[in-house]
Amino acid sequence: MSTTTTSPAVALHGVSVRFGDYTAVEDVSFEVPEGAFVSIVGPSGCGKSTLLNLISGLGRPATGTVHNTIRDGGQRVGYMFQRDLLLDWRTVTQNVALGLEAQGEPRRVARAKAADLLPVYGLQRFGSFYPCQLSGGMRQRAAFARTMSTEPALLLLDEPFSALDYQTKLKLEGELLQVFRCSGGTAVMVTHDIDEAVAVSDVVLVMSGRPGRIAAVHDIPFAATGLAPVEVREAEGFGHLVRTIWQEIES
Amino acid sequence: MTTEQELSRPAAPAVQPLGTRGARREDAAGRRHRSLALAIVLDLVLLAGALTAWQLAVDAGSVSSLLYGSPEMIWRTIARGVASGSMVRDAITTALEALAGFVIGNVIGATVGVGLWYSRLVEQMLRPAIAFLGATPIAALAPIIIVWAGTGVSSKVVMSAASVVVTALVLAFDGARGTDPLQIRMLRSMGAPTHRIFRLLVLPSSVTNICGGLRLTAGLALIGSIIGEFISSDSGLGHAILIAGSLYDVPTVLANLIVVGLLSLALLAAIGRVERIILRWRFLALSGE
Repeated sequence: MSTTTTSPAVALHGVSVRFGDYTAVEDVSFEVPEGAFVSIVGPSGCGKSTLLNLISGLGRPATGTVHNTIRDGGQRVGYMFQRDLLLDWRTVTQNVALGLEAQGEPRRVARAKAADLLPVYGLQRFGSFYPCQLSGGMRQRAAFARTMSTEPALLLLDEPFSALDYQTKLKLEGELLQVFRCSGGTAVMVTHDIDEAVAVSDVVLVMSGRPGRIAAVHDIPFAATGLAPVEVREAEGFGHLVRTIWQEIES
Repeated sequence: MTTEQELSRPAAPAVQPLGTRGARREDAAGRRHRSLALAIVLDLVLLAGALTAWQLAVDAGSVSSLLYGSPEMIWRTIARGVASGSMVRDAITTALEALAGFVIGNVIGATVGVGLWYSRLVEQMLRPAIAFLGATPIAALAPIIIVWAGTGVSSKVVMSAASVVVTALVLAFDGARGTDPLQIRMLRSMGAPTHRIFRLLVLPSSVTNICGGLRLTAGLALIGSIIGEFISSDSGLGHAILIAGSLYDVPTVLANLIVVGLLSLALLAAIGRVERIILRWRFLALSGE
């Protein structure tokens, strides 16, 4: 699971980002192999989200290069944010259909496909509910279903679980990870939750703050075993790894 | 019009109960229902008290009925006007003028307002014109509009629409501009071209504001048509008020004003109904958690 064995889906080389005089990210290089789940952890303000924006093509680095072979190859990129961004006036089914409608599918076709997807995400009973009637966890499920409905080859996650309570977060992590693994896609997740990063990722990149640099790279052995994130948290060596990363961020 | 807003909220929305949350929701709806009933009762009590005091003061001779009229005289004027049909005809004329102006003004205003989201350049170009139009007293334009559109119904419709259009436009534009930028970014990332972002996101995002515009402009539309009738007309409530005013017939002026007020209440109630259908999702949010 090293970062050089397969052809990279995303590659950053010597990337620096500046906002005026302020250097947000300095000399960052890493590769995301195809099919891997890579997490970026670090203190708030260390430029994690900036890196995600670079990968998505929303920003340009001051120096260095960013390659996103998935986007350049015309394949779909999906996003998940901390906020679910559901449209209040659409029911769950209609919200899930939004991704397909955005791509120009006829409304009827899109909504029929969306309705078929609901059971996969545990939403089958909630198709006709409006977002205001749902709990935070259910809303995030709907958001994930909407993102996955377009079958993205690359998934960019910006603290997708941080607004949820611990219980819901663990449950959702497990379920969504399973769906994601079945899709065979590549994922880059930004989070400040070290537990979460270690529990779901193949690789964890540790960043230190101001300016943001890569402090360490960890290949995580747990995800490849197919264990659920809850079980990984119980696994031998999990606590040690989390502590190591925590110290790397602190120093 | 806070009581009216209260009126337009749904009493008990038809939603599938969400486990135990269903019971709580009914309680909330019940509470709102009771407080609304209380508000209406208190309104009626206050109104009855004020009218009684007024009538007693007139009967005792301490208030001149010639200058201020009396509830009894106003009531008789209304009864006579309804019986002869003249007041009903006037009310229908004014209501149709105001309704036509209201619809035309809001359609034009909302369409242009939301459409301005497309082009920053056009929006910036139009900004001074909108400010100019917004600061123009429509009453000052009335004589010219009568010259342009004639003395018939159409000039009142134009007056009414002109009173409405700027408010509707500004609110619709604010609604469109207030679209969540992250949601726009999300749709763009999903591959939606601008016209589709407009249809799927910007337009529905603006609907809340456009409904607010309907509420705000209902009264303006009525005022516009009545000012039009003041300048030149042969029917309508404005016409009746003008004639009665020139004859110092205070009860008739007040009676017609009451009818104007009732028209505005009816229009707002109708808007409330429409809003409840269009913004169903919003009333679900208000009624529950």
